[in-house]
Amino acid sequence: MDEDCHHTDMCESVLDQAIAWAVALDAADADDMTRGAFEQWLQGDPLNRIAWCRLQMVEDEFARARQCRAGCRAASRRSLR
Amino acid sequence: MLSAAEPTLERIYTNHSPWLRSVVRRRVGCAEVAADVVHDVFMRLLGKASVPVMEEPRAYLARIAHGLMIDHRRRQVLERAWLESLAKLPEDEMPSPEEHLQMVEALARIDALLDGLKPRVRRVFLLSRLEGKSYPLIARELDVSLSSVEKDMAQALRHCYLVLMG
Repeated sequence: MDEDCHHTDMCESVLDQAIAWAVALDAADADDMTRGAFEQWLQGDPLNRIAWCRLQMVEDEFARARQCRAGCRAASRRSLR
Repeated sequence: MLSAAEPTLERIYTNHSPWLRSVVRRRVGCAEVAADVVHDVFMRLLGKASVPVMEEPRAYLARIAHGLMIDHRRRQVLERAWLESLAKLPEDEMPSPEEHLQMVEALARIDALLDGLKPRVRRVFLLSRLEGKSYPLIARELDVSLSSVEKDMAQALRHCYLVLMG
């Protein structure tokens, strides 16, 4: 899977679908039905999984920054105890 | 046991940091910035598992410093934005200098990813992914429609994806 994530060619429409799912799952009302439909899409085609996996690399960049910031706050609170 | 010729970081620092500082200072025109850049060069070396073998220590150090100077201008802008956001935090949540540095570095990576996006799209994406705000909250905060937040998010994700994957 990891290797798949690095394939260079990604069909535009699959990428668009992955992005649309990312946005749909973000929406405040992402319910079980949406999640179910997403799972179906994800399992429906290996290309979908590759697109999703690669999109998560973008998310990872931001997750790192978020953690870093959370760490900043937690550490400074600890140091003041 | 280290032999006398073993290039410890301490020895490299003693032998070359004054030289590096003066070189960088000539380039950036500010002693304080030069000291920061030199500090960052050695922080970077400290971060490595072992002291790298340097055939030409000065060329090696100058190369790292050069990259850091290019980043410097960009970081100044980011740092200012970061400091402005810190100013809104209660005092007991202020990060330490090391954490501050880590954060600025993480922000620099993000900045490179978002480079080229329209300011509003950027803002929407940062509010979502960095601040963890929900779409409805972002829509309210920026006084835009929910569907425009969704469009901006899709655009930003696509942009970052293409930058990251090339």
